[in-house]
Amino acid sequence: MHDIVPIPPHVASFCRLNSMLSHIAPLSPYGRDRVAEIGLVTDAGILESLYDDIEAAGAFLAKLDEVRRDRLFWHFGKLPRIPQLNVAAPCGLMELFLFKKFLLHYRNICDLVSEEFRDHFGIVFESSDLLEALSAGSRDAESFAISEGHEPGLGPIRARIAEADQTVAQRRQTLEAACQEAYGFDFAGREFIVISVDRALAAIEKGRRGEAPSLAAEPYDAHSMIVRIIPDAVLLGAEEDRRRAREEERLLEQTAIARLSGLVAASGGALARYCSAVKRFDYALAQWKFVRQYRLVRPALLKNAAGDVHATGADRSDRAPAGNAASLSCRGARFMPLEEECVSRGVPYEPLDFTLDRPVGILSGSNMGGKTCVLQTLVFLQVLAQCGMFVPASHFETPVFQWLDVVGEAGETAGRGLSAYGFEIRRLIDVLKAARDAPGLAVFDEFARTTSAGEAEALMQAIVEHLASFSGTLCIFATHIQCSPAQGKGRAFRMAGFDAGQARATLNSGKAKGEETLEALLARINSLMRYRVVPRDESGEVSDSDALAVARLLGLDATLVDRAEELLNLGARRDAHDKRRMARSNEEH
Amino acid sequence: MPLDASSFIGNLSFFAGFSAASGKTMAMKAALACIRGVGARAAILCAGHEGERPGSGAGGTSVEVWEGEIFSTAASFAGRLDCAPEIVAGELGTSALGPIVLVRAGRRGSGILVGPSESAALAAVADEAMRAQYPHHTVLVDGALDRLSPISALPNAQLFCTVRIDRANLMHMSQRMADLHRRSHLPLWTDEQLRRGAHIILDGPLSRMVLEKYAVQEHAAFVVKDFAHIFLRPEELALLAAQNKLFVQKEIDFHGFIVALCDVGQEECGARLPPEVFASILSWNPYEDEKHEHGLP
Repeated sequence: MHDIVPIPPHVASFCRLNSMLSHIAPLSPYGRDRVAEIGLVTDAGILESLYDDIEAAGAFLAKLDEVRRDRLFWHFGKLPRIPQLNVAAPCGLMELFLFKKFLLHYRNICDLVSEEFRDHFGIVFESSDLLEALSAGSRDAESFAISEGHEPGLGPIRARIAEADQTVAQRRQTLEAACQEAYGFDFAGREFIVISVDRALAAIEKGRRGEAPSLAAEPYDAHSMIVRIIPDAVLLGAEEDRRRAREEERLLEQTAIARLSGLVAASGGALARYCSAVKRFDYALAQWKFVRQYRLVRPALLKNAAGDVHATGADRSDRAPAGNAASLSCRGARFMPLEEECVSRGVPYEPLDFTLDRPVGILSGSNMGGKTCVLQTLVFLQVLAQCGMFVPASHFETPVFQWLDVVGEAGETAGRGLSAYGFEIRRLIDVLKAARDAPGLAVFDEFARTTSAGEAEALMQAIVEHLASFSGTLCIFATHIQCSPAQGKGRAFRMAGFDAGQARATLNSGKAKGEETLEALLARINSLMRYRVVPRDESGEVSDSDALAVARLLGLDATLVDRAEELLNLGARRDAHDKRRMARSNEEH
Repeated sequence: MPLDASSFIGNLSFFAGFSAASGKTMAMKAALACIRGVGARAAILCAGHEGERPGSGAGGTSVEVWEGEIFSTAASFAGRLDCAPEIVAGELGTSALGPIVLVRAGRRGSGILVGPSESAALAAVADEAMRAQYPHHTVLVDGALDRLSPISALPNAQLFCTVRIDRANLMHMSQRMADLHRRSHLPLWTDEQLRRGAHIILDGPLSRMVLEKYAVQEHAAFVVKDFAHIFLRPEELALLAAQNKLFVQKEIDFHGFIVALCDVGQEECGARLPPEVFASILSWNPYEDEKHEHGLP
């Protein structure tokens, strides 16, 4: 399917997707195959049908009582993977066993599904004859053996074998009993026994005289010999009868296997359909369980602002009308990997409310204020939504993007001569190229943080201005660098940051002495930080960065932080003084 | 001295030895004979297959199976067996001879024992064999000590150690028996010990290298998953055990030794063993005629 593309590894790594996908656990091998095929879907119709499947699975389970639900899951768990059909070669016993087992459990699944949902998932069973043929003469429902039911000629032959077996068993018992009586040896069903050399030799001599069963002996060690009973003519005759009958049986078994293989091969098309249906239904059921477990909702897909998302062209951004921007909005969005971490650490997790209705969003805020987590949350939700999955939010509205990218740390590792900055630039080039071709979503996590402040600021401004001109593409920057998009092309946000009053109270109380464990310090910062995104112009009294307060709370030497604050205030006074002088000078002129 | 059927019926018995040709398969066949002798049936499994060892012919171990007995074999062998095979479970791991299936014999005949190469898959096969025998199960596994851990977690699992002793290896085998006995009687790690002092809980095996790595923490106790995770020299193990510095998180039911003597008398062998090890010998040769005491003329 050309509408499904692999999730770029650095994007999956950035939003820690794989840890979440491991929670989706279909019960059949086909359902598990489907999980392995999860990728980004770029067609809204396909996505809606995937969401429909999940809802249908939920509606179906809601109508099923607990006993039938358990039975359904049990049958899914018992479904084996059927072998590839090879028309040229007959199946082996194991292959026939697997076909039978699959059909048996698949039929039982069909019996548990009402017509409405059978139609939805394409679950039909049209192979009763094949299942009956495979099940002929089996001792239990699941096992498989070639029986008289498959080949009537086997009956008399197997009766002959049973007769020969009985003769062999009886004769062995007779010979063992005779040995016990004549020599005092108790074989007790064992193939051989170990006895002293003298007794062994005496027994062999007695046997040779025909007074008792003949024995064969071989040395075991210096004092003992291994002794076996030599089969007599009756035993050998019965074994030969058995061997001949067995040869006839083998030929008939092969005939039966060939016939059954032919029946299976003729049902190849139906079997392929069953496998597809199982894959779809089992996957949808697993998705529904995931939805219930993590309180997920169906994403609302918006028609992409760029119109037909499949249309491509290098000049798209030039042609697109200015008001044709994509938008993305979430309420109560949860970044599940972090939420789980917060639960395990016993700290509250704050869900995200965020709306971006312009091409560019710029998010600034405190260190440790949650900027990266906002980006991770948005990418996480978008990836899930475009993988055809429900999302952890109370509401999520988004377009279908043709590509997703992350520029920043995102699991990148320096290498092949490129520094971290070099990697960022390479990734940026990819983003620009993709944005020219089709609408997408790109997030930039602390872009250009490793280069000089002045150049970084200039570069950022240029990139923001350029990206804002692409229609349908959304770009979100988390940064400390000052930059602003052109009027009407972007929105500026900031993290709400420290609760100033509480932070001051905590610092004044001297609670942060640096003697606590890292866990305790993080918990304190967590309790003071407001992990909310607010529009930049409504940020109130808080400053753009709480770096010094964070450093103090983390236990950095107070004299160092005091000095840094002194320098900061000095710089601020100089800036104010310069501005006043500039204003006076302007007035004089 | 023949084996006693009651030791096996209702249990999962794992036969392992210190080396190849230690008599595991023979001991398992002897156990099977005595189980059949009381009218019961068993499932017969093995780890890997006979041909895995370099120099031995490829193929599984041939064993006579009776009607109703279950055994593991390679799927490619199943169609060739003369015991009216009925496949009861498939997809049970693989071996060099192909996928493994569990087969129930429809009548007396020849079975070829092949088991999965991986320890976890062997435990899955054993678990499936127990299900197939529900409600009563008796399972015999021709195994190896390094495959013991996963299978020992199954209900009623017990270990039998087979030893072949001759004049050349008498001293060495006596030491190894004492070593295994010591390992199988290590104390269980409990919450009480947790409170007592420093300890190092190991995920992997305890080897000499691990001992050296933690040498600085000389007062700390080591905690291993089970005794199959200990790879120390006897003297190193004896020292740790004597200092009460080695614990296991899970006990394995070590049932005893099955010894086959060759040119060595029971008394001579017994003289080399500590009394508690001597007492844990279940049989001096499961193929020995009861009237014959081995090693004596």
